[in-house]
Amino acid sequence: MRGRRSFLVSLAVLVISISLAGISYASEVVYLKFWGGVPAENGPQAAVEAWNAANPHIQVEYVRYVNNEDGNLRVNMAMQTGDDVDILMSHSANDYEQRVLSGFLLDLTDRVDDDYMAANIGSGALRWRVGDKYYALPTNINAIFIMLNEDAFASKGIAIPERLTVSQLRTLANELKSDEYEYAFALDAGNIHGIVQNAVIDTGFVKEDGTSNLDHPNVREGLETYYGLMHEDKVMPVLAIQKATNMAVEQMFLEGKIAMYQAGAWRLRMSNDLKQYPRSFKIAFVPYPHFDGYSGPAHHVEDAMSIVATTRFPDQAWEFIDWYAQEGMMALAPGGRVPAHASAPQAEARKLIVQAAEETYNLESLDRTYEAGDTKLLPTPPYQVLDYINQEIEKYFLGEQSIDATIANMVKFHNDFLNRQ
Amino acid sequence: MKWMKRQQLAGYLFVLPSIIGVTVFFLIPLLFSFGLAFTNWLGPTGRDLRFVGLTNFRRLLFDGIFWKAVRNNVFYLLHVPLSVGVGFLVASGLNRRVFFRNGLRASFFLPYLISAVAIGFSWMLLFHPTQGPINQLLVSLGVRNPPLWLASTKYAMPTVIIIATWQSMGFNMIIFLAVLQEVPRHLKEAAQIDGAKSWQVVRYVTLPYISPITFFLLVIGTMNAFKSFGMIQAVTGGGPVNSTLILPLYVYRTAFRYYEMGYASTIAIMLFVIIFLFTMLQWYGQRRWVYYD
Amino acid sequence: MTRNGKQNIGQMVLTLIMIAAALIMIIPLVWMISTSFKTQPEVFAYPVKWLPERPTWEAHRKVWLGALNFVKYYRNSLKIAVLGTVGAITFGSMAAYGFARVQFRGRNLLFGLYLLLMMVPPQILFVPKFIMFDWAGIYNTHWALFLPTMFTIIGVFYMRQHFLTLPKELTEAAIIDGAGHFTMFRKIFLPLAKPTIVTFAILDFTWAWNNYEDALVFLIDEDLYTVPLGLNNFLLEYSIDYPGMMAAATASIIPIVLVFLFGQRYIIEGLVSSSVKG
Repeated sequence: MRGRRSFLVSLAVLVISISLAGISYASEVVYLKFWGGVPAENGPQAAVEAWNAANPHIQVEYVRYVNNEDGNLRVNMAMQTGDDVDILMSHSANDYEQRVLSGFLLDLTDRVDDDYMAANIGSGALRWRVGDKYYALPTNINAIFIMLNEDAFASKGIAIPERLTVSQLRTLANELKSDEYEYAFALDAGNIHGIVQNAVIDTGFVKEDGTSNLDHPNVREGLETYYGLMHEDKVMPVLAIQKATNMAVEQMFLEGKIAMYQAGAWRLRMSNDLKQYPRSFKIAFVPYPHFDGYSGPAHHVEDAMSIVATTRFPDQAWEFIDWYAQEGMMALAPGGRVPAHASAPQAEARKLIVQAAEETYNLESLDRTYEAGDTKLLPTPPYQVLDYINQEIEKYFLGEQSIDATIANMVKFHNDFLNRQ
Repeated sequence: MKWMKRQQLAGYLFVLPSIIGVTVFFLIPLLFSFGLAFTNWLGPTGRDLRFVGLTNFRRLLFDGIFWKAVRNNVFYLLHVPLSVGVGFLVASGLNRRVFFRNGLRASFFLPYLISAVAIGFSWMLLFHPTQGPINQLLVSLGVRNPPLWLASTKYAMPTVIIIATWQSMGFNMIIFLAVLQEVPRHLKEAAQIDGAKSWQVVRYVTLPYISPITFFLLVIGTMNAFKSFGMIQAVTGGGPVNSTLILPLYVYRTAFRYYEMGYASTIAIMLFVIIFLFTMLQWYGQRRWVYYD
Repeated sequence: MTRNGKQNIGQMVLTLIMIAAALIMIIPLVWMISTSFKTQPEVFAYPVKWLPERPTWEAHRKVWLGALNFVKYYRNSLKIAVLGTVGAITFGSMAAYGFARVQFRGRNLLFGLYLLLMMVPPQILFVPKFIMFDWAGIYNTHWALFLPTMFTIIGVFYMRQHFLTLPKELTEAAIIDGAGHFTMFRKIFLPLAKPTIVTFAILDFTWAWNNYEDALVFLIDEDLYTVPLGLNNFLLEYSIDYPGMMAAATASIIPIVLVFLFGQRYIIEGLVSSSVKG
């Protein structure tokens, strides 16, 4: 009797404790901190809230950092201490590579490899390949395009182009030149080195023999073209002035003072805002110029999400990343972001990015830029080289040094840099 | 004997807290940094930490950007004598009979306390190459092509020097003002009785009397000029084309943009050596013009 | 003309010159404040409108009630500046007294070390400090900011200069009375050094308040941000909103201007007595 009773008691205890354990297991909530450079109100907050509502056991908190030098420094310091970040979104390939080399990010090989990327993201994903591995999943196609003022084209009777070479761009800018526009063409001053990246798009920054490729003829052609646009044709703001005055070319374009503005999807949020920036003209789109016989620059795929090496919950973090790339991203479409993942409803997102202002765009040309073929990833050199390139081409665009000296200096610095590695 | 012992102990007790703090927050990090200068350290995780001997110093010799930063830094030093000179002039003015002395003194000193980040942007707008009030004024006065100030490689450093002079002048002014009040009246009067004109009184009585302070201000100003960071970072970030890149900016960029920590330490140590050399130079130079009574 | 009349005219002329010079000095500040009340198109209107035609609080509202939490930044900055200043004055005045008025072995050597450390550029120290703070667990806390502030080298230097200028007889009389150094320090020297101490309190407070670099490197959480950090983020986010930028900058300097206005009568006295007998 007694033995049986105690058996029952122990059984009861066992059952209760198992069920309690079950309950306590069920109520074990995992908290993840997700750092990104996108302003919370542009979508990440909404995405995270949707996730949290659907997944009570994995609660995610979004922490926004400012994506500039200081902000990225702070991110790296945070990961160094380790306990405050689980998921990180990187925005520049350079910062990302630093993080990979520092061992801050988990190798995603088991989840993401070349095949996965080819099937779901496309060639732009190569930007996030370090060695032959991936440590991040890019989530956003940051389309790059030139925004065109349709009125400027109509008044000159010029058709909206579908594709442009670098020299065609210069011809076009001169045809569009008129007193109504302060400049026929402008780009963001911070992206001026894009000319050089574009010039070596098919050949890379380093030649096969390990020396600098900055003496490639395209580099010279590209720089001379933009120099001509600034100083000879006077259809483009002179770089030094633009930089020093903080010239708001994006505003000037929307105010109808610039006919063509080279930018990308990140500017759509501004051009959608007709209240703040009212305009009477329609905007058409054309891909970035390419060098004759070479590929054009591919859209950036970015906002690359990584699992931070020190997290205690890599599986839950991946669960969230996987969801964010495919479904969560839709919350960011009204803010100008189109999901990079093939299984996300990209076409739907593309409609959302111009929402509320559809009729002020030439949507056909927008679709064309998204689907542009013959594109390749723009190569990115390390910061040291990039800074030096910027410095030298700035001198050239100021008229302080010849094109020969500019190229010679860049090549020398780059070769010294390569020798040190 | 007992007093002497107690004195010893009291001395140590007084300086102890400060010594501990200074050791922890200055000395140890400094020595650590010295060590790093001989490594190729690339970041806080310590990946690839290797002792590389003098490699970094050799690289420094051929680093064009480093030497440019040294030249810029020496050029930037120009604001120190300027600021000491202007400070002296203003102090001399305030030392005479003048209305609103307190209000004037306050306006001259206030800029010294204002943070560079806050005021830098105000200066940027004032010096705006096309729309800024300074150039609009110049244009309306008939200047056809006014300087582009911070936008031009030629004028950016002079502009930065103007701003630095503006910011540091107040400190020098206050110190001069105090010392000028201490120049003994009888010395001046004696000179006047001997028929000295007022500029001669300044030249032969006032300037020698205040020379130790002038020296002190020059030394302190030079040290600060080699350490300054915030203002230039705010108004030009070292540009255009590195024309305002000074050594502290280059150290910061190398460490926290390129993550070449070892090399950054090497540059920082050279910076320390340069400051030390300049201070010594001033110290030995002072014998020619500083008078102690 | 009487001698008095001549003097008055001279005084007037000098005053006018000095006022003109003083105006140049405060123009950047006036420009900053005036711009903060303007609308964007009015900013570069020429001739300059020092008083906006229709002043607007819009920019200030954005700073104080907008996305940024300037009230929180203020609280953080105040905490750091006050704690740092109190420490700097306490430890600094003690060390200064020790170096100036007490004989002990190794004194000159130690003080020489201080002089040497005055030349160290702060950028050298970031990385090692970061590693130390991380190891000690104070990285990304306010401790990482106010602890180093508590140990000022330049403050020790100036306050020592001041203690040196006080007459020897003070110490001698007190020794005869049998007072120890701590009594002398507290009862005689601290009260005499009041202007210098207030001056350094003001300067330390200002330096701590304006400290941008340390906050940048050692703080991560937005909750911990200080005013210069918040200001800089604001400037980066709204880089073309000039009135907004100037309103944020104005907000960041208010405490400094207040501290200066209340303490300025000490500053002259304090800096003088600490540097004259260099």
